[in-house]
Amino acid sequence: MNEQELVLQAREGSREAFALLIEKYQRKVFQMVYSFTGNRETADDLTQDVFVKAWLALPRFGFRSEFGTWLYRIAVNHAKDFLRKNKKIREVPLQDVGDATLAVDGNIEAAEHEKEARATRDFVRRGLAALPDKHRVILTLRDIQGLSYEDIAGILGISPGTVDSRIHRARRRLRTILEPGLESEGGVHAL
Amino acid sequence: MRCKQAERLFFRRLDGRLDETQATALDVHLRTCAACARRAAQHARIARALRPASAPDPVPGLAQRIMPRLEPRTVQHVPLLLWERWSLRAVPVLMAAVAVVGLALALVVPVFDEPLTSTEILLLQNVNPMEEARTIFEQEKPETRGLMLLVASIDDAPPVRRDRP
Repeated sequence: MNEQELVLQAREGSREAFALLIEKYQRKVFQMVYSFTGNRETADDLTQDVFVKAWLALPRFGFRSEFGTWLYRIAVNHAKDFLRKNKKIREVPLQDVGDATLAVDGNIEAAEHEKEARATRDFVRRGLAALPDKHRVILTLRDIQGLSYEDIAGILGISPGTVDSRIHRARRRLRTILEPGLESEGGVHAL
Repeated sequence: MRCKQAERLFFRRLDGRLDETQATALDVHLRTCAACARRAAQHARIARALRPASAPDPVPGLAQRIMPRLEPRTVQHVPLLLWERWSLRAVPVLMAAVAVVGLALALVVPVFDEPLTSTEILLLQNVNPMEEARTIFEQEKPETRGLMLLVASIDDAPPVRRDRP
């Protein structure tokens, strides 16, 4: 059964069809909201909310876009709402999934290197968190999620040309925010 | 190349959207402009730091946690708004009104039987109505033409007398 049939059945109320759609998209939606929140438990809760919202909104889905794009739009909007209501979360850097490898490895040099890389990531993520929402969102979609300009345009409902110019402005602004840190200590322990 | 343009091209390179000509022009600029080269290096490092080291997987059993939260849903027909209900009722009423008015007009208003003009009569007889005019204009003498035009302009219809008080 192809995706369109699944969506049609889910729209008619089939939980089985919707379960298959969850299986297909849960990883991408989870990673999307995780890239905004940086916390696995929060991302898990938000992912559940996204699918519940999608289930409720599905009768109004009119195939004007791909189902995936429509779902990511719900995910991005839900993550933005969450961040707006929980401003403190913005200060929290991403949990590093690879933390466990630090100690296990036993190689001190590698561990040092990993520690530095993590500090760099935290530094840059803090800068990202300081950006206005629309710049933060677009850099998250492009530089963290690696989505194409066209996909981002579909998710945010803007033209690819606007995506292009907004990404440029966001990158310029992020570098400006990070510049004091980049200049000190010979360019960020980090960078 | 200006520094602002170089920065735009550099961003394009980060996204893999730079063609060969632009890449060469950018490299030339970066070799000669230390400020741009430094900025480009910083942008590249920031982009590298943003890229996740590894993408986490969802907590196991995510789908099983979602399913109980889904309320059963059957196809629901969205109730119509008040104006929609009224406009739906108005359509057949309007159509019936138009039909009644049309019928009344057809029955009451008489069809006027206007007499045919002389040109129409000639056309119905398959005669060229310009034939007389052609004969006149083919006359060589202007006096004859003028006289014929004068005669032709005299109306065939009987004169109508005005009522006298």
